[in-house]
Amino acid sequence: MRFKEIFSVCISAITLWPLSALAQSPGYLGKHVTLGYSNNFFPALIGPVAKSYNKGLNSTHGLNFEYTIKNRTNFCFSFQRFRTGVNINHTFIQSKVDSFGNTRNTTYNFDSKEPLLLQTNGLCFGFKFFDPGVLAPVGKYRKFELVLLFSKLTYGGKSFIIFDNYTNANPIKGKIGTGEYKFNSFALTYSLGRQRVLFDLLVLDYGIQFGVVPAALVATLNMESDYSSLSTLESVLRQETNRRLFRYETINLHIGLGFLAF
Amino acid sequence: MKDPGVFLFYNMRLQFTPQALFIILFCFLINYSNAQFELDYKPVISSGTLPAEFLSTAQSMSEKDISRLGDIKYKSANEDFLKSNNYFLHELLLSGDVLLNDPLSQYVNKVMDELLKGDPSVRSTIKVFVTRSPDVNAFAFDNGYIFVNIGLLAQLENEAQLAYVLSHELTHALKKHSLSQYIENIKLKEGTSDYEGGTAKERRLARYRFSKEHESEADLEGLKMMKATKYSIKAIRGAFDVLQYSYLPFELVEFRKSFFEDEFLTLPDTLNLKKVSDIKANDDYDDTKSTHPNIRKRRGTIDPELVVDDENNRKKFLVSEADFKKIRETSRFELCRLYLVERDYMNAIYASYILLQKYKDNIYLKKIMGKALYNVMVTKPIPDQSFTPSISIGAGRSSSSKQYSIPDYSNIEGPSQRVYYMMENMNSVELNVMALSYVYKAYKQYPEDKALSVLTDSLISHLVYSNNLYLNDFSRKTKTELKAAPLSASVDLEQEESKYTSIKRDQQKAELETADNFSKYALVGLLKEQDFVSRYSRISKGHTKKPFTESYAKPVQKKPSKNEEEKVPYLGIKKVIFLDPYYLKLKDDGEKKTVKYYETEVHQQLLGTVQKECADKLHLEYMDVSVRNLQQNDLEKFNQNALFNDWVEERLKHGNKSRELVTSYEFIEEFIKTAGTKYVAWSGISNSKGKVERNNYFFILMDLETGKQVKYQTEENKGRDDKAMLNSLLYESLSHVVKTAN
Repeated sequence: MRFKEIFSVCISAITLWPLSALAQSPGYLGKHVTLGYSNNFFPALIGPVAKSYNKGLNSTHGLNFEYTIKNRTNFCFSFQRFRTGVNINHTFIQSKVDSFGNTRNTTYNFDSKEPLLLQTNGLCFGFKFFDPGVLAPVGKYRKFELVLLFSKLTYGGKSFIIFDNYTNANPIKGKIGTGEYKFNSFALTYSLGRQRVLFDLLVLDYGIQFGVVPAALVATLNMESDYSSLSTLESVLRQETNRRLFRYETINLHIGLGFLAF
Repeated sequence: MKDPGVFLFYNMRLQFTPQALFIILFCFLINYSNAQFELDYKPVISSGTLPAEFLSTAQSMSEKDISRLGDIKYKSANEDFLKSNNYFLHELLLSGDVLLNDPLSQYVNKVMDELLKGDPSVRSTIKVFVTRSPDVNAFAFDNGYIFVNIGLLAQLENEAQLAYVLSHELTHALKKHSLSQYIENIKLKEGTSDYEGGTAKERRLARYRFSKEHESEADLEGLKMMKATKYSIKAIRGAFDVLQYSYLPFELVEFRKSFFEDEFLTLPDTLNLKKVSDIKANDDYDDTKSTHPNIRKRRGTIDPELVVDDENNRKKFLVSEADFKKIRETSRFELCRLYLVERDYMNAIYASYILLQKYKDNIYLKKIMGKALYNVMVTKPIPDQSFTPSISIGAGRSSSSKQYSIPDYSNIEGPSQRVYYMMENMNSVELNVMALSYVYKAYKQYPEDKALSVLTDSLISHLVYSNNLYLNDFSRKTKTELKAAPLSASVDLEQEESKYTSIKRDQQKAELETADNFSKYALVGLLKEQDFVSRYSRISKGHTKKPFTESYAKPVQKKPSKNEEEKVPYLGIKKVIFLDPYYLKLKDDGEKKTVKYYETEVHQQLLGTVQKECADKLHLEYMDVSVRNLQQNDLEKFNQNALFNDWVEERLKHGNKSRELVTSYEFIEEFIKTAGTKYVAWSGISNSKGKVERNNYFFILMDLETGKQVKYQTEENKGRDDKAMLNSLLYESLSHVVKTAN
């Protein structure tokens, strides 16, 4: 995964760098590329934060590459990373019919002491459109982005207690053990912000971002909230991950600092 | 032509009797006073070193004044006034409209010395300048700066009148009338003014009443000052005549069309207005909404005070009558040029006509006349509009300016009405031919003058390209010659008449019968000149008559696509001249906008710096003619900027589509050589901060050689006008200037 991300960044940079010579825009004082760090943050109003149910701040770290392709348009590429917690409020039963025709139910109880840990890496591609009258990267902007989300959901040894009614008289009770699932998803984001250039070098960026994770919407529309219809723990966790990502991306404040590279 | 003075001197030089010597000396003096105007005239320019106020900023001037205020009532209003006063004063001083150490300013200062002979302490606080404006006016700032317009100097009859005008303005300055009015306006808004009337209308008019009281006070106090001098008091009456008739030209001379006529060019009588309107000049006009009382009231106030016992011992001239006449004549010469800059072509024609009666060979006046005729001509509609050459400029958008049209002659009084009438009633071809005839004759007289040569070529080009007239369209014989000659068809009665000879005969007959077709015969004389014919041939070479079908079968022109229209051209220019940028910062509190003077000045400097930094980054060479941060010895730069301002001001008045000539092109041609570039860039921002901060930015690049606007860019945006925003705007504009298309 890491290789893929680094590879993508390198390919984008190598492709766009020579293009600066052919840019339609003169750039800011001749510079077309901005490199920088950004942080998206918002209080965890519903979901937990990583490893804790206490009140906290969800925070996404990002490394950004922006390239001015037109007077008021920037192409944006960024790599971002965040960690947060996932809480499952429900007990769910997984039913299977064995080869003897008997229905076997396994009950999963979520141990609410510790949330599941969701670690996500994102690759973002998008465009920033600056307001008329100034040249990018100065002034107010609107940004549209596609965010590819590569998530890893980790559960600890105590996260789930299972009851298996293999024999009703003597159900098995135990812990599921540690494990992780990897899920891929994507989000669409829309940002409103403003950028200032300081000392003709630094670029200060601040704003607000709204996002949507379509997979979570689809799940909700399909009325798949009923866990009983889900066949495996993986599908349950996938859905929970998508929902968490949805809440995570819904609204974020944004601040960033970059520099005009070349 | 020899001057009479010179002629007399030559005849009497052999008999050196005392009487003869006296006559020689007298004639020499008369001759000397006018000799400088006889053949040419060079516009006045500033000289010497720049005084301190030209070197400092408005902010530092204001801060100094504010520090002297102490604890006074309406302190904040006083401060606001000083900021505004100093800002506008500073802008005026650096505008290039103010003359320094030139003969006019020197003379006016001498008159002020005479006026304040008894009060040297006051004299040391007063500074008098002459401003290059055709308006008949003078004005004063409260901090002792008095400005006298060239338009006023051109109209005055004697030195005493000038002294009275100065004493009037001096009273305004000493009594700080502007400040009083500023405070009074605030009081009126607050409702604490003594002038609060009953009705809303009366309150609105209160400030005019207050201003009129100040004017009356200045009239009377000025008179007191005059009485303390040896100047004639009786002469003051004439000063009010100057004011009353200030809308008329400086002299009333009969305008005759014969001025443009010669042996071959005869203008039809229809172009001559039979009777001109009487001069009315009502002195009892409604002054309710005027800052000044009407002339009758002013005369009424001052007349009883004009009687003094020692009038006989008083003089109209104390400094020098000869100097006065010289500076007045200089002002009149200047005025001709200023009229052109102001696009007042009718007055330019009439003023130069008046002076040409006296100085028949003056090349400067001839050029003014030629340029004015040219500019009137190009604003005339061309008979076949489809053949009008279009001037497509730069990025598509054009600056706003009014198209010139000749003022309605029926509103004009006096002999100058004939100029308006004649110009209004001549069509493009007639005016073109008349102007060409006039200019070419001037060129023949001064063949070394490049400007006249260029003007001749331009007029020929206009005949060819716009009016579609070629050499063969003009008759080489006069009407009289043609009438006397047998009609071309009747050459040999024995031979059978061919179709062609028949056609020619009919055409010749038709021409002879056309009464007012003077333009066809106007160039008979010029067509005998080999140089004229070869010029005409050279210019029209390669251009043939447009097929007549084009006038109704217009080719379909492809409409440019939106992308093409919006496409900003890359100009590939290596060097530009930077003018002082424009900046205005306003505070918008919803009800009114107020200028933030300090911030305006600071940002203007910043924009200038950003402009240069961006140019450096783009490797764009530049020549900076900015007058901000001048040094004491930067007078050359100051004069250059003054001429540039004239050029830009005139050019912007013409607008984008006009083909009017920018009249100071001779200076520009020289300057292009010195500067090494023909492109001049001017940028500016107007920032208004209310609930939302808005900026309006413009960037103009002009070609000094052709007067064309190469690039015109405007942007509107919201946000702080910080350095980043200025960088962003300027860098983009300049990058399009410097980069090449590929």
